[in-house]
Amino acid sequence: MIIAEKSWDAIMVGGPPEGGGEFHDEMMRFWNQAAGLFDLSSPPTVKLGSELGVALYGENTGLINQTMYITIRLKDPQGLVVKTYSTTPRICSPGSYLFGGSLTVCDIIGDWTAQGELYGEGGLLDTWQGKIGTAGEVKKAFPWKWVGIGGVVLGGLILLAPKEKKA
Amino acid sequence: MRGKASNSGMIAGEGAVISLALDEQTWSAIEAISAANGHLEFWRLIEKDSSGNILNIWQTEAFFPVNIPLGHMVQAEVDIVNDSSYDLAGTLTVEFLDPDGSSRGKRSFTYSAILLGTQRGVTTSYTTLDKGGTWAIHAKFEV
Repeated sequence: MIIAEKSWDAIMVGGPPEGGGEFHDEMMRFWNQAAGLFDLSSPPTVKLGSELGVALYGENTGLINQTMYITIRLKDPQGLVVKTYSTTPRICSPGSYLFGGSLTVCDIIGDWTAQGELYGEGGLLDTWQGKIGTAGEVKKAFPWKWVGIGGVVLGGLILLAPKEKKA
Repeated sequence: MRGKASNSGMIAGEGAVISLALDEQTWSAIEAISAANGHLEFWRLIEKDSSGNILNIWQTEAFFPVNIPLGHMVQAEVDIVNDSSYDLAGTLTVEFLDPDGSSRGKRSFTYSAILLGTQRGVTTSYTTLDKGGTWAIHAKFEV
């Protein structure tokens, strides 16, 4: 004799993206440049001790409101996570964006990377991973240009200088 | 307790019959217990990627249906809660029903005594999601 019986429609596999979401590359490219952080396609080289960071934008590509949040891990050149950041979960309407950004001071020479994850009500929706910059000693090029300009000016002055009359 | 047989007599009068009960007794001989009673509760759903790394654990059905990519593996656990006024014995079966309605990852366990007011669970085996569509968790408890 069956005492209790129940079913749950628990899992949607490859179904409609009611709970869909993804990082929006164009928004991230635009805002990272606008914020003066970096161009995603050509991460900067900065002086040791400077800040590097990234801004990520997640879009609710689903058809309904859903609670979303972003996590960002910043990694040093050895791959160690030096900072973990998570946005507060927020209800996002379809087509709206969720912003998450994080900065860190680069105290090790080499390539710094970041890893972002976008979560929604369906769990992990999208990931982003990339280089955010290179920390190093920024060497100043020898100012050959100014040497050249200075030489021309000096030569001109010598030529134009009044000559002493011989007695 | 031993009882006495009922003894009654009849007195016949002018066209009337009077029946007198001389002795009467009741025995509380049988207690009919209430029917077995219990309900099923979703306990958790675990998602693993194709390499076996755990990606998500849902412990509420509030997010159902959750979106999981094709090829990932899942395991569900459902509990039977004993709502009876006595210990319950029976078999709990939990399975997935794929989009075609076929049983997947089915597992059962027979409990000899679930104490009143307590609950016991059964998990499905890990099952690879190899069909697109809605997958259901189905559970039943039989005595």
